Amino acid sequence: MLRRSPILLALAALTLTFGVLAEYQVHADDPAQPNKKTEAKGPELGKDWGKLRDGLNGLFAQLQKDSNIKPSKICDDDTFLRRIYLDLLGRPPLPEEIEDFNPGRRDADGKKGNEKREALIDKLLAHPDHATHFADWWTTTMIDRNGDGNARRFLHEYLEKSFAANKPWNEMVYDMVAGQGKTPENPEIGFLMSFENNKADTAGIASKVFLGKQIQCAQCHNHPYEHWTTDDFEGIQSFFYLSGTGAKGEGADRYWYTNDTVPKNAMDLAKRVRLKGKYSSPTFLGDGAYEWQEGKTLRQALADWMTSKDNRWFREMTINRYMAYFLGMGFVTPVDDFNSINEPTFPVVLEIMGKDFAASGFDTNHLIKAICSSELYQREVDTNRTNRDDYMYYSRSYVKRLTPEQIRRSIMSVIGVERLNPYEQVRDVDESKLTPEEKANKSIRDRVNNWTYNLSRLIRDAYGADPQMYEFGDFDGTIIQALMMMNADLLNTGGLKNAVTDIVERYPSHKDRIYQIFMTVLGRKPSKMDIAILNATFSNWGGSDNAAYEDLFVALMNTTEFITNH
Amino acid sequence: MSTPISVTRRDFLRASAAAGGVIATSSFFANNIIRGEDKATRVRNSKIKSVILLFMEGGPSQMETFDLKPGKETGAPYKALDTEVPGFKPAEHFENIAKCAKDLLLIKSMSSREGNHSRASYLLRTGYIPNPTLKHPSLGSIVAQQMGDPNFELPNFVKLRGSPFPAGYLGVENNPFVISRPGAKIENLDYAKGVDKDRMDRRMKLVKEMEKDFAKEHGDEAVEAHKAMYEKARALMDSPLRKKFYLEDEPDEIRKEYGTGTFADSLLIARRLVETGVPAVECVLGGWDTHDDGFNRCKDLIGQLDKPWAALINDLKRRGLYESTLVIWMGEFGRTPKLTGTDGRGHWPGNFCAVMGGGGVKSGQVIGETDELGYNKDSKGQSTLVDPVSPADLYKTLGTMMDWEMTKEFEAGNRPVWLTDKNANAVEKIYK
Repeated sequence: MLRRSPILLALAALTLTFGVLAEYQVHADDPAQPNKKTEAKGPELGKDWGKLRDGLNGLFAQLQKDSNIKPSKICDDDTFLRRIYLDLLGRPPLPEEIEDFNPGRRDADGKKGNEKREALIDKLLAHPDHATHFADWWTTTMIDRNGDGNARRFLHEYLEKSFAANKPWNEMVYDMVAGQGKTPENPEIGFLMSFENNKADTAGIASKVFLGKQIQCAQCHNHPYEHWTTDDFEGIQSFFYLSGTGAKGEGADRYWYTNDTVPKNAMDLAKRVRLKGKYSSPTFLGDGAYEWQEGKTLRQALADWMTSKDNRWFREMTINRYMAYFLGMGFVTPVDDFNSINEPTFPVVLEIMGKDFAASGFDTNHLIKAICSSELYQREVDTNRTNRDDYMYYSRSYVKRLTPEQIRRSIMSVIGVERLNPYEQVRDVDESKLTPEEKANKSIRDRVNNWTYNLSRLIRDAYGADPQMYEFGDFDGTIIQALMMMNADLLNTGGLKNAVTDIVERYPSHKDRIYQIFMTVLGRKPSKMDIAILNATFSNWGGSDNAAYEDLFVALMNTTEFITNH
Repeated sequence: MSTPISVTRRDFLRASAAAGGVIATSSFFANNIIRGEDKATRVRNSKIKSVILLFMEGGPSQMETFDLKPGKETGAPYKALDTEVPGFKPAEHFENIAKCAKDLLLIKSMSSREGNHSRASYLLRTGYIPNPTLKHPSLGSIVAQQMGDPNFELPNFVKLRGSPFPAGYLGVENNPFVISRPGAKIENLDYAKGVDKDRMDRRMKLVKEMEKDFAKEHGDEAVEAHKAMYEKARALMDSPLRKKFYLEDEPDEIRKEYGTGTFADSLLIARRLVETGVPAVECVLGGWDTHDDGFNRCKDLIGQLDKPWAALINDLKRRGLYESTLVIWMGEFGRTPKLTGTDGRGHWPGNFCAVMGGGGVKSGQVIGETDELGYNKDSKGQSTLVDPVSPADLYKTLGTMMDWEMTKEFEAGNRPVWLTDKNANAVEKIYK
């Protein structure tokens, strides 16, 4: 709202940076107006992520100054390194990756400072673990951790491929909402499959996750405080009426497919889309009824509208989710509940960032680079007297609890069963036909897979299925999670190599072993204080046998530091 | 874990002081505040201290359990037993439960519109139809939050088999503690191989040492919450009360009374927990989705259910706990009166049975009635179901009996929610 002076300042600072004030002073005072056609024509917008970063830096520096907030320092290289690895790859850096980055000094390419950090962001965005981690994140966000295993598998596969190719976000969402065909050629249909033909759930989730509009409660009654009515809900739901998913075949031949009926004309549309015996007009939320178009499925029509450059909700929802994900707090909280009594902290900034995102061709990497290279992302968690209470101006970083997906990836990486026990593909023939080497190889594969499977099961049991439980600030885990971290016998890997045995074997000296254990588990060197504590502890323990290194390893995995990003 | 939300509450106070209460993020913290505060001082006006839910997964057939139509074309080839209570005529395989008729109340007219397993299970466990954008807590979580002591050594909601249905907006501290194999060793509750108490102590002492520096640099909030949860978990590991999860010290004659099998073990563990002060226990018995071979399968399932259920009632009565413990038997829906060609039945949410007994229940009566073939509509499609009870009504009834805070607005995100549906009605006939 423009009446708040910081917002005016925000507008001024950001638009000064972009030099496009005149074109973007629209509708910021009118957040309830959906989808005003505000073409992003700004010559500067969307071209250069560095400009967006500079805009965010300049704007929030000004806002902090005006609020008498002194920001926390920019974090050191070690902190940045672990933070960005956890956010982009879902795991801490490995010791060799830490050495490559060479915290505090020039990296292998001679880069330092911001240039070095930006190069790392680029490198991680291209890392295969990034696509996997973002596929984990988005699969859970869309269809939680339960549900049909096949739908999850295909959706994850589609997302992983798409993130690896940095496919534009509007195209990805279009594929998921409108995708047609069959598996395995069209894994994007996993999204639709996951709802098992429940149209209300499909509509509710698509609207919440991609547009930030929680219309689901209007399914049964008018929304308690929005102007959405049951008709609005049914209007969106109707776009899914003429589509469905199914499966054919058994065993290895089993495949899943979608089918959509394409209405032949407007009459046909009215005849087919019916609810409780009446025509239920497919209607864009607050944006008019769908008018029949030749050869188009209803899902395609909906996806066109949802992912359009003109759909303010679509671009702003995405901005908010990425801000919240990386900074611990977006402009709107909860992250996907945009409504009239839940105003953004900085609507104008959100609007301009949204337009910049649309103008970039919905390039999420453009957005990620701007956020992660900004001062907002790189602040220390440590606060001072003036910014201890800042939950608005990004003058400090927050301690973020890792998601179950990050914890799983971190445990996998840290204990390193997969990494330390490589195996070859096993021929798909009867066991008796395998050579002794192949049998040995298969045995490794089976034990590695068992270990990984067991970990996934433990995480699912301990963390439950609901992604909503892990928003910012929710530090308290459950007893079951603590019991798992303390007592699950994850280091017992059935004779396979794990990180503790590997370190003890490779490094003869006590000092090196401690150093490597720290680098492996926490992604950083031990501090002087750590070493002092450990010296006292090890002498107290009466020596440094393998059990002692194991105890150190497990202890570090049970610290707050391990299960948070900071 | 004295108060799991202390961290965010403090943050909220800081945040609102700084921002004049206008910031959107505060809603999250406000939510947590509402979750945690102002319950300590409230005194419930109810004698009920605990709830044991016996949840029959798959949709137990009313036609083979409590709403038999012997001799009719839709009926099972079972005899219906006469009991002391008119209208309470369970299947012949309920020989023990039949003797408890006076201690039970039968509802033959449970009715909903959800015929899909996952949606209907959600509805019967929460009293609300599922909503992918909002997670309602299940019965056990509500009871844990409303009736549990946050400082109790044992979890306030223990679930014996089944999935970890989250507590949603009531917060992780009210999630179920799920025991997937009742009676067997609970996973991760014991020290790992090669680790004893001393060794775990030395690990945890080192954790504590290492945390000091982190807390100093990164604020103590996360560390404090983390520590609280670990202390609670360790306390549980080392607690003498954890033997209540197991049956080794239970006398033989009692074990014999409950009988054998996992479900029998679950019910005996449930009694031990309730006796120790756990307010919410859910025992799950699956396998009721009898599309085929229903007569044999239901006979077998009742065989697993009848003896331990009756034993639980008698055991609680002997210990003077039946008056303070509410025991509920139900599933997600019933089954079609019409038989399939394979002696099975399809999903049927229109009428099904629930049975209640114990604390606060006006037992020895039957509520509701279906027609002579087991249907709930006449040939014109008009409902003939006598005294229909919706799941929302049932939850409103339970809330009334246990005096939950049903008028209070809880918040899920920014959205106001209530423990039970505001439009539902308590069924007064059910309770004293």
